[in-house]
Amino acid sequence: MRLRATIAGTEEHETGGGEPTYAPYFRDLYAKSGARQFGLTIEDFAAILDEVGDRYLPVDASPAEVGELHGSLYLEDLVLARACAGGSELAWERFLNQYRQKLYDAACATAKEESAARELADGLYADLFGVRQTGGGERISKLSSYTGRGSLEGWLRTVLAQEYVNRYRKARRLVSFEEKSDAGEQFAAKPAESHDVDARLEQAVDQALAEVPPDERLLLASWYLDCRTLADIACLLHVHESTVSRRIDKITKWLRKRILQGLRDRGLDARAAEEALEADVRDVIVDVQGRLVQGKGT
Amino acid sequence: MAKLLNVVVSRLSGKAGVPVTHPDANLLAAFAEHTLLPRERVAISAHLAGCVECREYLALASAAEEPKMSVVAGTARTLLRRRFAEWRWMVTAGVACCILAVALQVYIEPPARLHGYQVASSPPKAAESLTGDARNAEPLKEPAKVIPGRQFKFEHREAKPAERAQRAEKTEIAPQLMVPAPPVGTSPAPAVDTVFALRSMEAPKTDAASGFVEPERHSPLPPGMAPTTSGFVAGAPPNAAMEQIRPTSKRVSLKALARLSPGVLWSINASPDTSGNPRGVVQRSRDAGQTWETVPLSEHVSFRAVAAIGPEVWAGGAGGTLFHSSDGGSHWTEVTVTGGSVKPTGAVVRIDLRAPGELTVTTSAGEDWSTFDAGSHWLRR
Repeated sequence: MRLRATIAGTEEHETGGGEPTYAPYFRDLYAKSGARQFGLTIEDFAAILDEVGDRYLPVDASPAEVGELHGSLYLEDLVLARACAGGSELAWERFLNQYRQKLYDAACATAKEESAARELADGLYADLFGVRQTGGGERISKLSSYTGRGSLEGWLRTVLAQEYVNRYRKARRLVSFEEKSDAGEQFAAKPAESHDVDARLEQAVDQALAEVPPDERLLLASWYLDCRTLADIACLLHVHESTVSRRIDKITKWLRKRILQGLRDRGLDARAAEEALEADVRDVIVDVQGRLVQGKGT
Repeated sequence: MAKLLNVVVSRLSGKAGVPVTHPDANLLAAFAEHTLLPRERVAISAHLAGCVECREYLALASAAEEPKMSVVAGTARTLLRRRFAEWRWMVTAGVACCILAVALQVYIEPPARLHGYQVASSPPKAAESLTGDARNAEPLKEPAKVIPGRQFKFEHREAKPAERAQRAEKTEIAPQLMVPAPPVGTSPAPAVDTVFALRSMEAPKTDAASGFVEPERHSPLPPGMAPTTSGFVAGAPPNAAMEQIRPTSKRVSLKALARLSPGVLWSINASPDTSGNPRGVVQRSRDAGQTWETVPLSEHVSFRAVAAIGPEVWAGGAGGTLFHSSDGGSHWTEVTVTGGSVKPTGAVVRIDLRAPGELTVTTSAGEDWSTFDAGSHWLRR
């Protein structure tokens, strides 16, 4: 048994075949998690953390990295979820008291319709409880995939969102041709034909985008592709709306400059580079919408 | 917001490299809650930038989240702004109430009289302060009603410096304005710690011959006069200093006065006479209170109040006696306060010197006598 959880301690070691000695910090984690009340022993707890560590840490992770990961976990939520998955009555009672209403509220906010929300939440409950069984007859609960990286509530919302999108996609595939006709799909504009973009321009753009930090790229995608509001993006990135606006402006201007520079590096003179960008702007709306439809519709 | 180039949007939309493996719900939830480790956050951000699907999940999940005050500071501020907008009318009403209250107070209790360069009087408490508790009384407050015929018991105790400083704090008088006990040899009288100093400042416009202050009669505050209700004499403070002493202020900041240029100080000092009875004498300091000299006036009068504007000095005391000097205290003449056959009752306990020759004296019986011609004619109010 490899107890990664004990690596980060100071006095840990594995005794061959005997009881492993856990680091003091690990015992603290166990005590704080409240695992004991659900009947989870420290060995069970170590196994859970070991599994989480295996999932998110490299094999040669240092003790400091292990400790950092353990410190970032929502241990109480993790223990509750695993206890529920293990069939603890007490854990289920607590889970229902704590999350039942929240889950229905989240479903209502996602589905925007009462009956659909109820159906969505009930479906998720079934998955959480575990309607499927293993070959040995054990229930497979979705809660066993919770790893405590975020809060259990946040995880439930995310799972709910995924479930909602999956159901929506399934429902879309089942739409009849008549319904499609009623929706007027036959009159939809044909996707814009792809323009012959100068290869040098594409290269310059790709190069510039590659230099943009991931957070800024996410910012651009959320604003220009997903058309999220500043408030939504601010909430996602945990910054103020004005900061989002300022950063978008800044990165947009920087991108233009960088692309112009890239075009000049590829042999275009300054005027030709400017013209290439101006020609591009004329088709912005059509192309962006086309790409968004293409990206979301599938 | 700046426009993004078409080709950039095109490349950004995921044409270049669609992610193969998506982060699980745990990582997405952790990303939304900012609990990812830094290196993980970079990786997830990079994935999200190119994966519309995961961005969709995140957007749906965050839309289902209950509004929390602590999500981000900005959100909290937005909520506070909304709250403020909802209660804005309350704020407006509150401000209106405050303005109304101030206006009412001004109407009911006008700020320092219009002619209000009320100056220069040793307040009755200066005299009262010679007894027990009254000695600690705050000198800047309105004079208390003095009961006619009340006998004041004088106390001949020299205060210790520490005690004096403590009292100075209690009475909010700037320590530098507390007149120190005259050094031995400079004053014949023993020091009393509750001396009220009256400060005479340098006049900006002074007649070279007589040294007489020339007040600006049309100005609400002639130079050299501070609008006090308590009786600190301000001879002629500089304009800059005057800015700090507004007529609307019922009480003048003593610290502001202290910043004025030092000049001649006048005070009433209580000291025992030869028979041991307490007697108030007029004292003057020409060095900002370092040393004091007793001004030779009537030996039979116990003085209770003194006021000065530049060289114009008025001093009054027991029996309604009033003395006037127009040369800074070198020569004195006794002025009889009378209105026909009526004479003032009690001792002069307060002198409000508004302008040279224009003053009101208050007696211990509560009578106010005013003159506008340097004491030739008196009017009882």
